Amino acid sequence: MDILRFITAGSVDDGKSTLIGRLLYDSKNILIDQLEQLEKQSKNKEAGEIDLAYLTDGLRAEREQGITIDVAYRYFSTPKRKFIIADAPGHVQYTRNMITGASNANLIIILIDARQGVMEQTRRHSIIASLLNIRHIVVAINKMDLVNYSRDVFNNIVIDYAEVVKSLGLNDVHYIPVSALQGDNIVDKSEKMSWYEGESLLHFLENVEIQQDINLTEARFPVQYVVRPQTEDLHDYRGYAGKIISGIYKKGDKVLILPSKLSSTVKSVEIGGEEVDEAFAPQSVVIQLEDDIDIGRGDLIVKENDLPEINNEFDVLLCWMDNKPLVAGNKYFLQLNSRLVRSIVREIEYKLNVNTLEKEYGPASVGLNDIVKVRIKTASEVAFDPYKNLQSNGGAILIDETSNVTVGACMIQ
Amino acid sequence: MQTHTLLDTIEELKCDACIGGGRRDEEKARAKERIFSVRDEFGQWNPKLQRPELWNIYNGRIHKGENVRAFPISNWTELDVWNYVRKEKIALPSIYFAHEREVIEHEGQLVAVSPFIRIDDTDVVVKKKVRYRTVGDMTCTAAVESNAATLDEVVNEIILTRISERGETRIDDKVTEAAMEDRKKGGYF
Repeated sequence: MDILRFITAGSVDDGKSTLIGRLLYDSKNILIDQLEQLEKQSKNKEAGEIDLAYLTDGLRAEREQGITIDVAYRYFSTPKRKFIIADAPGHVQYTRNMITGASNANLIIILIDARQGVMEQTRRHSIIASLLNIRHIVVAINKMDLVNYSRDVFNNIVIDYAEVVKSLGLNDVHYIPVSALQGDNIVDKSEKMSWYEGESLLHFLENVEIQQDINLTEARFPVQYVVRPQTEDLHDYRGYAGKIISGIYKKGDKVLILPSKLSSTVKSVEIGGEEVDEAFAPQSVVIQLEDDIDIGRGDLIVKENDLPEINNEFDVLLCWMDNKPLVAGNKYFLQLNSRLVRSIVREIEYKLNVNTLEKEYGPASVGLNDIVKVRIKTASEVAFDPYKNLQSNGGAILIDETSNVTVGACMIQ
Repeated sequence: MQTHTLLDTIEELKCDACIGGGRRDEEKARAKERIFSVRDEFGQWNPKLQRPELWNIYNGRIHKGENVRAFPISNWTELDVWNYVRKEKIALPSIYFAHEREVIEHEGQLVAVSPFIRIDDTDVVVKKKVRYRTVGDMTCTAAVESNAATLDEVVNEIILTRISERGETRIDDKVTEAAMEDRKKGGYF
C-alpha cells in the first residue's frame, strides 16, 4: 500500500488540529482509549462537544495556550492508502517547525478561515509550499458553517487565492469548502453545500496521484561511511556505505567520485551483506570499486554520463530559522546530505515580502522566518543539483558553528 | 525509574548518540519528536526549542556532554513493526505470545502477579491467557488478554484492536495527561 505524506497549514485558529481530529474520527481511526481521554479533556473546557484539537496538541504548553507549537505526526489508514499527517503550527513564530513538517510532504492542505479569507500566513505557507516544491496543494476553506455555507464566500476566496497561485506559479491546486467542526466535506460529501460538485477531502486524499519522487535517471550516491573490517578473511575489503538518493547502480558502471573527479568502476553492490545485480533509490547499500582511491564521508559517487554541478559558489533560496539575524559575511557549516563544509553567506540579494510577494532588493536586515535569496561560498567544492531538478541533492541546511543549531534551509538554485 | 539507569549509563560510557525504538504513533508527546533528538547534558528534552529537521538531512553536531537520541523507526506504526517481524522472521521472547499467567485486574489493566507488586486483600488473583503487547518494567506494564500464539495471529489481533498499544498496557502513562512529556523532559527516551 502506498503512503501519502501530507501537512496541514494555516493561521492560528483556522482549525487545523480540529480538521485532523475530524479526519481521524470520521474515518474511525481514533481508538477507544484515545477517545475516552479526549472526552475527559474536553469536559474541562466549555460545555459542548468533544474538542478534536486535543488529539494532536501533545505538549502541555500547547493544550494550555490552545495553539500548536511544534509539528505533530499522526498515522492512519483507509483500505486505499496509508497516511502520515504532519500537523504544523500556524503561528508565525513557529514557521520553522512548519518547514520541518513540509520538507517531506507530498501534499499540503492550506486552511483558510471562511470569515477571514486569504491572510499573511496563507501567503507565507503558500510560498513555503512553492519553495519546497510540494507537488499537490489543497486549499480547504474551513468554518463554512459560520458563513451559512455560502457559495459566494467560497467563490470570492477562490478568486483571491488565484492571485497567489498566479504570482507563485503553483500547479495542481484544489479547493474544497469544509467545516472541520461539523464534519462537512471531510469524509463524506456535505448535504449543506449541494452547490459544491467536487470530492470530499478524504476522497481526494485517497485518490490523488502521487508522482513518483524517486528519480531513476541521474545516479547520486552520497558516501556516509567507509566499511573496512580489516579482519583476516576480509583483509582487503573496502566498501562505501550509504543510501542511493537517486538513480540505479550496478556492477561494471563507470563512476566518478565528486568533488575529486577521480574515476573508477563499480566492482559490486551489496544490500545487507549480500551481493545484488543492481540497486536503486532509495535503497541503502555498500558499493565496492575496482580501484583503491581516496573516498570518504561526504563524497558523492555519480555516473559519468549524468553529472551534477560542481562549484564552491552558488545561489540559494534560504528560509532563515534562527532568532539571531542573518548578516552578510557570517560563516556557517553547510550540510548537503553527508557533506559538511564551512561556508560564508556572501551577499543577500533580496528578501521576499510575504504579503505582496515582491522582491525587496538589498534588505536592511534578515530575521527569523524571512525568506531571502543569497549567494553562498563554500570552503571546498560541493557537488549539487538545482533543488527544482533533484530535491534530494539540492536541499541543504546551514548550521551555526557555535550553537550547533540548524539555522537555515537552503534550496540551491 | 529507568531514566536514572539510562542517564548514568550514558554518562559512564560518554555516549554521543543512543538509538531508540520510540515511535511517533505511540503517544502524543512522542508524536512531536524529531528523528535526531538533541538532549542537553542533563539528558533533558526541550520540546519548545527543537532543531528544525529538513528532508533527510540530520544535524548530528552537539556540544560535549550533550547526546543525540536517534529514532530510526519514528514513522513506523505498531502494525508496521509486527509486519516487519513476520517478514524477516525475527525471533521474539515468548511473552509476546499468548500464555497462561496469574494476574490481578487493576483499573482495567491486567498486572502480572510477582514479588514486586503489593497485592491487597481486595485484589483477586486469576489465571488468564495473556500476552504482552509491549515489554517493559513488569510493575508498570500490563498484559493483554489474548489467544494469539503465532505471528499471523498477533498481526490479525492488532489489525482488529480498538485500543492503542500504550493505552492498553502502560500504567505509567496514565499518571497525568503529560506523564510522557514530563518523563522525556527528565531524560527518558
